[in-house]
Amino acid sequence: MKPAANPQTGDTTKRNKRWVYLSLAPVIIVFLALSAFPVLNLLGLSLFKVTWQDGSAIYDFVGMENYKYLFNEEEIYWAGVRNTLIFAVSVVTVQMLLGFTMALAVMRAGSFGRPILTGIFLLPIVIPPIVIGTMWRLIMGREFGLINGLLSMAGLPTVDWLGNPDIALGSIMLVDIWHWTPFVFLLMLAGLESLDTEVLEAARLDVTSFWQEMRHIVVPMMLPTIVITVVFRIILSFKVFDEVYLLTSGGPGTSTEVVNFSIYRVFFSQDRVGDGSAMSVVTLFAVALMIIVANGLIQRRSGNKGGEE
Amino acid sequence: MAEVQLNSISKSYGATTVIDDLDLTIESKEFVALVGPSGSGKSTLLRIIAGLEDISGGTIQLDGRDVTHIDPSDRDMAMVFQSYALYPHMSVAENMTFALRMRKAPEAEVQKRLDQALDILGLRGFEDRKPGQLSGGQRQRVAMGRAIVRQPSVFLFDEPLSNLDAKLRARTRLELRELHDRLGATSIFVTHDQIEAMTMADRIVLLDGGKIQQVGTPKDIYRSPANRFVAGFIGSPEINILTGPLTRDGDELKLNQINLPASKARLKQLEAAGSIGKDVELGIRPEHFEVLKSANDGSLALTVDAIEFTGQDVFVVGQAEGANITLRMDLRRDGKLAESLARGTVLHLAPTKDNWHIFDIDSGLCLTRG
Amino acid sequence: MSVRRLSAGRLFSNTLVWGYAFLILGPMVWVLSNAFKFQIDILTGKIFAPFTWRNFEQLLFSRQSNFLANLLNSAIVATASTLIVIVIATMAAFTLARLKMPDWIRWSVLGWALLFHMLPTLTFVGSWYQMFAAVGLHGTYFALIATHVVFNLPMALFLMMTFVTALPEDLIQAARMDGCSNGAMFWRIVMPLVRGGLIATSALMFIFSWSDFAIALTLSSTDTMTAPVAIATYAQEYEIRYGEMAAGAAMSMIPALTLILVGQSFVVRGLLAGAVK
Repeated sequence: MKPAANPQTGDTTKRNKRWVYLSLAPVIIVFLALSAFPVLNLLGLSLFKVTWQDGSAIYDFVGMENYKYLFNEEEIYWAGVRNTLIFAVSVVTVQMLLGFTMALAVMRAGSFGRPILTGIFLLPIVIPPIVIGTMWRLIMGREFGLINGLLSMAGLPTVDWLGNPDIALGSIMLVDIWHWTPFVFLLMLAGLESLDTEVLEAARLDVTSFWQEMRHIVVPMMLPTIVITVVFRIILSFKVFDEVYLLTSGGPGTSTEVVNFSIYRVFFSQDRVGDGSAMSVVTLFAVALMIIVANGLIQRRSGNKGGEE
Repeated sequence: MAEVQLNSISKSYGATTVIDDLDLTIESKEFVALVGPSGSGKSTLLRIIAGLEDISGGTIQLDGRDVTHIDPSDRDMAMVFQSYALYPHMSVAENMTFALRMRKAPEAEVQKRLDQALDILGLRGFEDRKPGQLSGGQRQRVAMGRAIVRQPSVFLFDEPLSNLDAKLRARTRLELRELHDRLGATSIFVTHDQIEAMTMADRIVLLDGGKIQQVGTPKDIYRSPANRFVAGFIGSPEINILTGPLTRDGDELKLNQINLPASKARLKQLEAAGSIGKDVELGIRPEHFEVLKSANDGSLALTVDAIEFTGQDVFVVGQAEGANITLRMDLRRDGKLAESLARGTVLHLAPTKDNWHIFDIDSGLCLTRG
Repeated sequence: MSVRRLSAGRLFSNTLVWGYAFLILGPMVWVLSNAFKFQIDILTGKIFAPFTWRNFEQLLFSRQSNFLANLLNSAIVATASTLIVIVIATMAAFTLARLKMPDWIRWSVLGWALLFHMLPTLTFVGSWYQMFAAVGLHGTYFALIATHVVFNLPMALFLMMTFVTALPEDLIQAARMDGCSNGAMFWRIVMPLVRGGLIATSALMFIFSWSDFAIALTLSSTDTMTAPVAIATYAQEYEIRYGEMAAGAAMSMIPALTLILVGQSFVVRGLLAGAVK
């Protein structure tokens, strides 16, 4: 048997290098053009006052004026910031408690029809948010809504869920809790089920009560998953927009104004491009800072833990 | 057909050195086994030869050609992996011919080589199966077939037998060696199993801590180990080690009270090494004891703890001079005596002439190597 | 684990999770049922009312409604953006996860992907609007598809990286020994072996693109308006057309429902893998 010479020799190294750059190029181009450049664009726009005349834009350089206005006078935005913070902290707290409790119950006692259950819990996550908004608009409607229908059938007074400034934000939070608790549940359940069962069984012999087991065993073991979920759910709840748009459009007054809605309102309804850009820039950098800090904390935590063991 | 030459190869990950300034030449058509405990760097060395691992220093030559910076696919080497690494989405035939098709070999040639390999490996009739439908032994054959079909100048084997059961492993060992002789290529074989290395290799390269401990034929390595590590690693049951001062009285050499029959040459050697009167380590293989009828002046009293019957041999494990000692008894010769052994029996052993090794206690180097 | 008795704990856990499941399903079923009712029955709050296809007919075939076109737009945008994002993300994922390359490039791409994934989309739409308007591409399919690609890219990248990383290292090395360059390895070894992950990720990307509201609201025109935007406009008309709104909602749920019925385990795997970064 005589060996056949390889027709291609030696140039593989060069071709391999070329592939590395070619395969990354599309992703890098897309990121640069559509996510990095827009940030620069916003930074630029935020220094101008844009007015419209006969369908064409006129740019006047105003320096930091838009930022001054934003920090001193833009009440909608700061109402939005306040509401967003209240919203994020409250919904994530409830979602975590509820999701963790359900996951714990299912892990310890089981449930019947797991595949069907999982399917149902996936529904709110995958159907379009606008559909969820539509649904709840129909359910919480003042005159023809399902809840008020049921209330009046029971002879109780009806409630203006979305029109009453005192409860509108609460109603939106209720929808968000409904929307995202299943996700937390599925995550927590997956986390609990991946814990080492032998450790759990060994621990069960050492503890005397359910609360001891929770406090000293289950929660500490789940802590990394819990921390990551909480942090990222909070950051992601800053993205809320679709439901607010459809349910209350920020109203009544500014009672359900959230940051994203303020940006949309200023940018698109009021055509204040400069102000909207300044708002976007401030929000962008605030959230980015939060992400970087949170990420750093999580990395350090896991790093320390690795060192101890 | 292909000589592989490694010149002062080193490899480190950050601060940890895996391979340390290693030189090695593997002759054309040679079957070389890289042996060592886990973490010795043997698999890394194989992957360095293959080009799958970058090196921190040194050069690799194939037939005098520098291939250090040549991509693995251009080195004309084929590798058989421990996990077999068969492509699960391809049939047996596709797996085996993949490399040829990648090199755009003519269809007729591909078919011819595939046919040959299928016959050699007894895989005829399995061409269209997927790896998932094969037994472990068959998968192992496909993995070898994938290498054979290429007719490379160097075969690299990374513990290819370790996932087979004991019986199949013994058979495949023979077949693999036969295959090597038939194909006439250079083979480099990584294993942690000394039996595999001893039975198949022309030469053994024994590695520990990223350094070559000894290179030699299996016989060479077994009979005259270069150091304490090699003596301990090769040979099963392990070589017996006793520690104590070495004393000489005329032609009589003793360690503690044990008489070590030695030739003139050996005495001279030890004298020259300056080891007389110093503490040393004595190594004696289990088969190199003589069982005496009764105690004499320089004999070793072994109190039997356990008797392991393996068929042809009996391994007697016990205590002597505060150390664990294993003795191999040949049933054909000492059958009667072996039958009479029980826990607690005391046997009197004498080392045989020159069938022992002295190691320096600090460096571990063998002082009695000829 | 063999026989589980109906204990108090089991009763509690089942009541809890199935109670929640009912809270999810109940409203959905009620809304869907509205899609088959006459407006008058919805307004008077009848739970059991005469059945009708009228809302669907109105929505799909009446002169005043463009919903069929809106659905088509959604499908075009979702399909195109999914195809593009999956191809570029998978190629990059293989390179980032398995190949030698300068570390700073690897970490800048991944770091930016993580950051961008978490930033509120709304902070970008203003800029996108300006950019596309400036080059006359506002309201085109191109604008929607391009933004959906970048919007889904981080998730696709992370998901495909988990699938590519799961391939055994030996297989990659064997292919290298067999003469594969990186490109050949990608097309002949990696792509066929991550097919399952590819399908799961594509399905999720399609769903996310299909569901998008914020981007489509600001970047689409009358001609390219997608289904979610259309549904939202029904809610803002002077006289809210409840029945048609419900029917529209029902139809835009179809991809998600199909996915859950056909590939539930895929979705769970993808979603959970993506959630833990």
